[in-house]
Amino acid sequence: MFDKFFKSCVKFSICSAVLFFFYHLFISQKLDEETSTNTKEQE
Amino acid sequence: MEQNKDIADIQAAEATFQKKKKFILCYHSFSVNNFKKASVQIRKLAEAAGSPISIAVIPAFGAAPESEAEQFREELEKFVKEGYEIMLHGARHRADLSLKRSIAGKLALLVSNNEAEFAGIDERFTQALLKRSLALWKAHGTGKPSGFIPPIWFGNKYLKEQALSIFDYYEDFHGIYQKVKGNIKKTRSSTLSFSILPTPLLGIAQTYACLKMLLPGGVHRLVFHDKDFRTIGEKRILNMVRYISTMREKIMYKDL
Repeated sequence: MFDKFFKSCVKFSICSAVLFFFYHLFISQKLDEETSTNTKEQE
Repeated sequence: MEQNKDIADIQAAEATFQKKKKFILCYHSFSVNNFKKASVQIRKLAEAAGSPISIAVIPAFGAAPESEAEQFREELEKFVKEGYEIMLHGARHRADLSLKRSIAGKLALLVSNNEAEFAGIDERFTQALLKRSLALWKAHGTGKPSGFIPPIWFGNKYLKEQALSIFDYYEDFHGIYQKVKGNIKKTRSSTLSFSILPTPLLGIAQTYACLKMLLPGGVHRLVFHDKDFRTIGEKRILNMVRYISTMREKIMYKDL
């Protein structure tokens, strides 16, 4: 019973970490992108 | 044509659902020492968010010359007239090391590099420091602040009650408090601040902040300091505010 619970916890943690990593990649890209207002100003 | 209408309806429904989630955007530690730079940063944040934001003000003048203090007052008045919300942020923010503090208070000073002004002090000193903070604020003559935010969110067991007897709102690390019909109402709210984090953790902290805002629940506080504009960078900060504004509605403390 404990073994099953432990395995589920490990699986959940790994899935969360993978999801968080992909979200981190998405956010990093999003926060670094140039905004339309900036582009206009630069033009 | 009909399909376009359906898509528009779905998008409108999604926008309404997302706007039910709210957040507070607050600039911390606006003071006589940094007001020139901070004013520009605050206006940029407000522009990115689409409306005026909340400002946590340190009211102490310190050794600033009178001309600087006058300009600081004028800037504060301008913010109030433009609809920005003012919160009081301690008296001088930096802790008075001569005051007697509890063990938790001493630990808070250690963690905060002696910035947690109210941490672990007794009832009498808390009252005195609060009064001093308000008196310093009144010297600026710009109305009454909406609430009180203890420096680094470290308070003591007396501060919440005392602050709420003067101000409408008080907050700590876990929530925002207000008095409703004599009872203290707590609004669940996470503090999403970056200024005390080491630089290698800033990227993860930004992702965590965005994720927290994406998920439902709480009226979270997104907090920026002058330091963040140097460590995180203006572009990332403004993009973060724009991104979060698409997920949640920005409100002020007084809208709670």
